[in-house]
Amino acid sequence: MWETAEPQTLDEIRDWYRNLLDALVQQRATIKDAIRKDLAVSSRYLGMTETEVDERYDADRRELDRLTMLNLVASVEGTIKQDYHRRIHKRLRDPLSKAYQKWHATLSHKKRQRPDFDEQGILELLKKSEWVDRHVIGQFRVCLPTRHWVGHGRYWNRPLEINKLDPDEVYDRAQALLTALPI
Amino acid sequence: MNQKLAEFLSKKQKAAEVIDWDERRNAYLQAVQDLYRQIQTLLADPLELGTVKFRLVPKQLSENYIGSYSVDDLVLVIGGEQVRFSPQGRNIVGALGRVDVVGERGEAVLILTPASGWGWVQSRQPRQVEPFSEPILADIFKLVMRD
Repeated sequence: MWETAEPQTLDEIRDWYRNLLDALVQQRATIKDAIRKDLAVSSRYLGMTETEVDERYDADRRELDRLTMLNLVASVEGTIKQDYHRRIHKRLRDPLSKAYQKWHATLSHKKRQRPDFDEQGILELLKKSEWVDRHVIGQFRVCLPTRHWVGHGRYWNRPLEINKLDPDEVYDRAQALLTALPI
Repeated sequence: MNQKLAEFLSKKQKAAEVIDWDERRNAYLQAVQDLYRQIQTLLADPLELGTVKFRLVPKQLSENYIGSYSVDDLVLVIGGEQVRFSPQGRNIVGALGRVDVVGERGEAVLILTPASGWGWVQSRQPRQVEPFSEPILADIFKLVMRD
């Protein structure tokens, strides 16, 4: 449908996250070793105390976690929307595809291209249809305020849910939702 | 002790370089004293006239490997405004020690470099460290003090 689309799987995102996390941990170890041995490192850290190096690591780690959570949730949205369009365009006859097609027919031309995902969108439809465990959808929805906050510039108060989540937790909730989708 | 653990600890011990942390701390403390002496020399006239006041305030620093030790903040009172030279420690990235200059409007960082002694970190990237001198002290005062 979109020739230059670049969808990412949850596993690709998790691999990327783990690679960068390894790099961050290694970087902190290298800097601390350089302090101990009086060696030169990137001037980006020039003059920092060990505490400041740790604070920088914590900030970088927090940012990496947040961007990864955004990516994971966005990947699920992409996968579910791709699946949605596949069911519409191939006119599949299973119950979920029929429910999608019925709902799709009620949408404006613009919304048909980009249907809502969360409230009054595909997730709500999945929840009402009961083909997917409501608890699984509920658990995934807890990740959405964090995704919206990071993805839209963080200009409102940080969502409380963010403190309960990390990339592994979001991965598990995202994977559970995708696994629960009827094929 | 478990043999595996003993072997691991022995290997780590052999790999560790012997660093004289007391010597490093003492060299840093000496360099801080030298910096304070240089500042006193640069401000000799106003100190004598009493337009600048100078006092030392002891404090404790604590660092990995070195432990806790005592060092002095240097406090200057200039025209009713205070500027504090505050040692931050010996274990510093790319330097042999650091002293922060804290004024009422801002802060500056001085680091001890192996090549040219104390220097003002004007920028990390690109790296720009100006050797400490009378004009640099004036620039720092302008930066950290109120207009």
